Amino acid sequence: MIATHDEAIQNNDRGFFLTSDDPLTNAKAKAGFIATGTATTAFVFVGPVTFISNVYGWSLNSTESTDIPPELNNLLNKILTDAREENFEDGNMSQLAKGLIYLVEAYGEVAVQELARRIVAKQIDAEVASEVLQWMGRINHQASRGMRLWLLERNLLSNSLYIRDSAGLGIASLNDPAAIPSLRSAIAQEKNCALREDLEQVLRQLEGTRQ
Amino acid sequence: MTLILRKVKKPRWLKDDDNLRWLAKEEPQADALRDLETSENKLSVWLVADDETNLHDVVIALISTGDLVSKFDYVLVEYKVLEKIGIKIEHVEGQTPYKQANKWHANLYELSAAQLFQLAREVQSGRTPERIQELVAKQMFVSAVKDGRLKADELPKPNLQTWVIAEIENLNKAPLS
Repeated sequence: MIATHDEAIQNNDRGFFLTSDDPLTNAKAKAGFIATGTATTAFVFVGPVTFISNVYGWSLNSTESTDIPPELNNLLNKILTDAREENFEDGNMSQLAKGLIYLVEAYGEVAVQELARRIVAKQIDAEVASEVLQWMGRINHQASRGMRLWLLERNLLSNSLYIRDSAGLGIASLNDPAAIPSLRSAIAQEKNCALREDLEQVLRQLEGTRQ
Repeated sequence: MTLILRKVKKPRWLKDDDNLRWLAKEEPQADALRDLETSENKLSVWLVADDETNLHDVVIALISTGDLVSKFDYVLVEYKVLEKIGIKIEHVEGQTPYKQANKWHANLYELSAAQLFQLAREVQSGRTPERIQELVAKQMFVSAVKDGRLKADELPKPNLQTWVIAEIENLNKAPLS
């Protein structure tokens, strides 16, 4: 089916997409993530932002913001800029964390989508992105849970060790057995022994949760 | 007591990564030095027994000062490494609500930049950094409060206090028959 204008995440008149019955799939498509591996979802974008699709996976190759509310864009810019000056310490609530909680509660999936885009485009430095990912697993917000899980799973395959580690930590916090296949795949590909062992611990935790 | 514990961020000490091919084998990343941040040329550390019997107590003590329980990354360094580098150490009672562990706190003092860098190299070439996963850390922490070893009302951060009280209330709820 063709999405309504509102469903098309404020695409104005620049694009449309065909939706599937899966809300998460639709959410990904809304953000401009193109799934070409499924028969039911396609996305056509005719605006200035170009997305490149990958067969059998999502792609997020834009370096420009999608159409997100300007106030969200401004808030994200402020929060992420301030975060560069922060020293993130495990066990302490950073200003970044407080900002992320607010953004996810106020803007839901749209905020997560924009964070995902910036992380993939490497617009956020690794240490800040690492903190973002860990908090994506901790935030208690049901409506964005699927999108946050997707963001974490995707980053298990980042080329940054920092990011891969934090994606695993975020998944551990989220404690969702749905991540088991992605985790297994990441473990099979992980070259760093120490990180592989940590991911295996997370896998065992999720398997325990499933039982 | 022959092991020195320092809380770190584990990825800063891992090297087997495509992005770090430029780094010489024996060298730590520059970012690793952030885990050895000194104040007045002192570095706060904890003493852990050879058999690590007090390790969990030290970890609980360190967690007890924070806002929340997360994973806990640390490195252990052999005491003799300090002697090798000529680093001085003094026992200084810890300032955590977990009183029984505070006796294991110490400061490395009168540290020079060269000594600190040498310590970083020794950490890098020594034991692999360890991690206690968040779920395990939470279980350890809740047990300490539940057993009365640590008092919830003495935790300095309200978030942690509220969380641990709720966890214990959940544990105490009788199972539905």
